[in-house]
Amino acid sequence: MSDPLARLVGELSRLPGIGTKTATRLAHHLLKVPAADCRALADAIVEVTEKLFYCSVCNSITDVEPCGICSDPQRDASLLCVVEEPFNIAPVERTGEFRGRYHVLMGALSPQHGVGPEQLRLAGLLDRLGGVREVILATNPSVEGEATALYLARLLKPKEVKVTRLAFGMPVGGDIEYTDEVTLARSLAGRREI
Amino acid sequence: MLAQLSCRSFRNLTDTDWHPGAGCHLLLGANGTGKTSLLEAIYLLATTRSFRTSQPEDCVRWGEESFHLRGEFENTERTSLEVGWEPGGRHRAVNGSSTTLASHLGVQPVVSWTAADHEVLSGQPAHRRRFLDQGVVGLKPAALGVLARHRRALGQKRELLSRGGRGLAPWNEVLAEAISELVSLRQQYVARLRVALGRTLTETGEALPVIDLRYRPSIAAEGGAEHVLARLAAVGAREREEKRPLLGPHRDELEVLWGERPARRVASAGERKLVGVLLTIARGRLLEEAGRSPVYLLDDADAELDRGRLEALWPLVAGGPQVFVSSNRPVVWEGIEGATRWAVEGGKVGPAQGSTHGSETSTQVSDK
Repeated sequence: MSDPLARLVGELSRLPGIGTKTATRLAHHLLKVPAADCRALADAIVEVTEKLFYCSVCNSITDVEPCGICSDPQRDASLLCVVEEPFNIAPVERTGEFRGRYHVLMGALSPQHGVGPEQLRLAGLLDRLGGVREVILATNPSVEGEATALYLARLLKPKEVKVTRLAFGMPVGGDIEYTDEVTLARSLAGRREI
Repeated sequence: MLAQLSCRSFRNLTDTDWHPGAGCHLLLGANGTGKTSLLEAIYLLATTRSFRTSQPEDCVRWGEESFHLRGEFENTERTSLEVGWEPGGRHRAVNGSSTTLASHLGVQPVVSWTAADHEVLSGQPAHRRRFLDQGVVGLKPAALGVLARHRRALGQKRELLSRGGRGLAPWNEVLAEAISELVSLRQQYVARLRVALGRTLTETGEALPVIDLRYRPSIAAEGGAEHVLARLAAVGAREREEKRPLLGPHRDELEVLWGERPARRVASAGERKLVGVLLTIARGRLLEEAGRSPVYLLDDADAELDRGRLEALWPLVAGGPQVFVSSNRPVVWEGIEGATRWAVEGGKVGPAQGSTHGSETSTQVSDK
């Protein structure tokens, strides 16, 4: 493999979820597309790294400080939604149901990956509790997300703030036959009158 | 029911299209001719796992780089399953599309007794726990979620304990819920399997010692997740000291009893084989009762069984909706009726001489 191609494959394979095989396929694809498209991709990557950073208040990705949501006076500052990663904000925003603010933990507890409470952005969260009446724990329903939510619930309990957890249940379009016991049990516990 | 099996570069089998049909199939051939590989291919298609190896690349025929299996299964509807491996990794598909493991396992349940299963009756408790969980998942594929959650939470707890165990509480809480669910699923399964096993024993008409099962969970599930959590909290200090989780389903035992004593300690090799086949039939019957008609796979079925026991078991075995039985001793099967006989030679499967197969089973074999 020629040096520039090997370098591109090497760089692409450093990305998460991309192995050498996929990196090679992507590199060969880039060789076929017009040079202008490649330059646009390279510019976009450079622009992202040069212009975007983490909001100093909520840790979301932003190009202004503080981010648009943190600085928006229309958002309800008494409602705080805690998520694991910056990219978890967009799905909640798309629902159009939440008008509060966010706090990104930058991960979830995972001893196997060396992530303990010290590695999470918890100090910022505790500093933001003044004026907050409800913290919604929107960590993932994985065992790591659950353990993180349980840890946070204990941490926030003495702070006199209402702590809630996202409801779990069967996915829309799901099938009871293939739904596990825990999900079904939680769906039953969280059932509502119609 | 397996209607068609296609193998490419799999073990020592020639690339084959096989249409076995319903009923009982007796695969006869010398050692190393491909009988077990055929059973393995069926098992692998249905479960996505081999009963001979945890490394799928081991299944690639010598000199080839990948293997591919495809099966057409007819139950309430016709469904195709595919499983394969290439250097990039393994792949599986249901009706041509990749899907969840639970959906794949939901297509065609199998029950089997092969050389690997002997460990269930003579080996470490981990083999019996695996046997138990396979039964639970066979009856209820959705239980995979509970098993996965338990395995993952236990792995995290193990890691935390190896680093001193600070911050154990949230992990115990997550684990308690999974433990409560899993122990309850195991308890329900063993209760049902005991009933099915009792009925199977009666059907043999043989005067046998009591054959029974005892599930001994290290934490009882009756009190629910709260009770489990209290038990975990109570051993927390000792767990930190020993740097390993001491309670939970990973320490459970399933005791298989032969005459009220553990079969692994008192039963002979022949008696253990008998117990293994009876357990397999009982597991299959449970699936049949649940409306999930299984494929029965019995490798080296006659090994360690005398003619009397074989004749007593045969009506129970041959009565399954679709059964594949292998043997390297054709002479043992002389006079035993009720099966389509296949000769397996040099990796090829074809009708055995004097086989009863024919129009009623629509069987055909074609080598590609």
